[in-house]
Amino acid sequence: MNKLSYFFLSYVIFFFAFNFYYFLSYMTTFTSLPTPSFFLLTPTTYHLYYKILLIAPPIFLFTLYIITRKKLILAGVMTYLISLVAFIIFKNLYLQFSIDFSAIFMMLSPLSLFKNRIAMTLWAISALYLIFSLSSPSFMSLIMLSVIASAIELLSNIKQEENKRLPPF
Amino acid sequence: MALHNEKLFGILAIILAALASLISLVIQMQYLIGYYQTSNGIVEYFSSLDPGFTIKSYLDGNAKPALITVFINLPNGSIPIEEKFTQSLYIPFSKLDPYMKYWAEWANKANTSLVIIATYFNGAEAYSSAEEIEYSPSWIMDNINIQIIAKINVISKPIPINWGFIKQQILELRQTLEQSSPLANETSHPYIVNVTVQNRKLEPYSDSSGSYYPGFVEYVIHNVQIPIVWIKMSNNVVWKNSFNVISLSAVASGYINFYAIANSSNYEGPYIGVSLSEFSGWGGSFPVAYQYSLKKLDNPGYYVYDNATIEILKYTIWYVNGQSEPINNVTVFQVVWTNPTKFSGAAENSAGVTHVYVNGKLNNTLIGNGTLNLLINYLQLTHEFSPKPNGYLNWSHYTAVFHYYSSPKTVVYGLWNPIWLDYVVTSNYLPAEVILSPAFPITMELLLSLSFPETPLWLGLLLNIKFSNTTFYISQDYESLSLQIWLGLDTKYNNSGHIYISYLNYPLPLQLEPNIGSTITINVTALTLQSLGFIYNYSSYDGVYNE
Repeated sequence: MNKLSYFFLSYVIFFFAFNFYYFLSYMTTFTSLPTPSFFLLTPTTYHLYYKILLIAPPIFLFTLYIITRKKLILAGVMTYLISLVAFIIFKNLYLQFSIDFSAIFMMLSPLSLFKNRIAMTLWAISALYLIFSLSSPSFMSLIMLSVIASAIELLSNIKQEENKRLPPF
Repeated sequence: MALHNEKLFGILAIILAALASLISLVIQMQYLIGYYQTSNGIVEYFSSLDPGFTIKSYLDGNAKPALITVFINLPNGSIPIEEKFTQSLYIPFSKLDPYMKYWAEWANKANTSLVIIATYFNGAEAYSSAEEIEYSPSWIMDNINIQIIAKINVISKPIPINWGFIKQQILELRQTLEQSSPLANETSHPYIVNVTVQNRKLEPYSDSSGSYYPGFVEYVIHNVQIPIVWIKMSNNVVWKNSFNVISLSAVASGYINFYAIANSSNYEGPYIGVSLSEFSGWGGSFPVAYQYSLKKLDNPGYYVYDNATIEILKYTIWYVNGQSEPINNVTVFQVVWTNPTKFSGAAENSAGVTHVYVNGKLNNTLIGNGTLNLLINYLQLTHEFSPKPNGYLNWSHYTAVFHYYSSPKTVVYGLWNPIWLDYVVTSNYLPAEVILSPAFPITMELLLSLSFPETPLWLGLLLNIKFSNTTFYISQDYESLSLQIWLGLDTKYNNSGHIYISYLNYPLPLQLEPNIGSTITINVTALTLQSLGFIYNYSSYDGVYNE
């Protein structure tokens, strides 16, 4: 597997582990199951879920920039982070929109790396996760399309490498 | 082989991604609407497809099964509806449905609560905590998709009781009562306090270290006048200024968000949540009451009040191992009901009397025939919560001047015949710091307890609670309320005199987080304390209610 494949794999594993923890938290909190305090869903852990969804994509994409050295990705990440920091400092509604639009730019910046068209399409749709979340936080789930896209791209990469290694006859 | 493994990775990644997406969708179906924190836990409101209450108990922060007892609050007290030894207890809304007939009329106007008590056992010791879970009766009636999660934590230390101190307090209280007698002549308008008391046993619980018998005593105090705004005058004003007529009145209009904050003897702190909240008030202005000729009364006072039902729930665990003895108790103080559309006014007299009826039988007679008298005479709240000087009024030969220490935004005064001092208070003109909330239920308990000398444990615990700073706060957000208190003094044309004015002040103890969405709602922004009171003295402004 090449570095890009490892990136996609880690992207999938991270989001699976992250969601699985919250799944256990929700399952134990909302049912009669015994709930250890580290699984109990509190306002802090609840809000942390959305904060992680805000922070994780730029971290992953910055890693992707280090792997690929594509300046467009770095530009996307930097735009997003500047908007985010400005919003945290000034709490301005316009900056909120700025984050949402820069998130689209950031998420679209690595599209050229995708070889599989389905993966590319899903990843592109996932770029709308923040702007759609303005109407309802549940649209944050759109980012999971990028996780599926990563898995498809990973499989596609593996198959491609397999084909390369196979003899031509 | 390596290629085969890599392919497996790819397939696994697809599966994990699909699972993560599915989980994410499931998670998004239940979102947080609001929450509030108590001294020993948290109550959270989620939009959920499974409407109900889920209670989670913890011992020193660790998940452990406890004996969880659940009471439902009704306008006339509370009833136990569930008792189970578990770490996590789920109660569907449907279980509460039969009780909602009591709230039907007020479903959209008032929020009520469940009281939960969690108890852990450790041989011959037991530790308890209490918490209020506030909800709207309309959620139950309409089976709205809300799930309420309540975390309750118990500290594994018994609540200490200082017996020496308690005995001293009992003695002092009795002496106060004896010194106040013989009763004054003014007995024609007694303040009647009706108390109903009942004992109930709950299901026993046994484990390897013994048998535990939980039970509770419920004291319901009916028709308690909780002052919202009040004005009080010491006798020396009346005697030394030679008035013909003294009149006190109040006009109130507008709306109040009323929050009755419940207290308990929890180890971690007294605040256990809101037992009742409602949006109360009136569409238009109306005079609450108007009283003349108060000069005939000793220490005349006048107040506007909410008529409330207050409950004291004393939950006790008895341990049986050879002999039976109480090993733990937790006491909950809460307002279970006030009428959101009805406020009244009352004049009071320190020489009047209060009759305390327990289960219909006259048990005790106290000096003073109003809530303020009970608070001031028996708890000496004017000393406990330092009053602030407001200012003083001088008048002499047809002129009057008002000097103020704090700066009320509006003070209207003048000299007419008769002299009027008008202190206009509206929501915008409230003093920056708000006023004392009466520790009313505790006072009532102290007084009532004298009727039960054979139950020193009860009195002891309560006294201990009070001096552990367990004060009962009844808080209100004066959202759009306009209150005007009037003091009219009719004196002679060429007379002169002065009156010092002070108000009681107590800092805000806490703020609640905004909770619950706007349609079903309570929007707690800031809590202000409930009772706005002024004291008029002749010789000083220190607020001491002197002769």
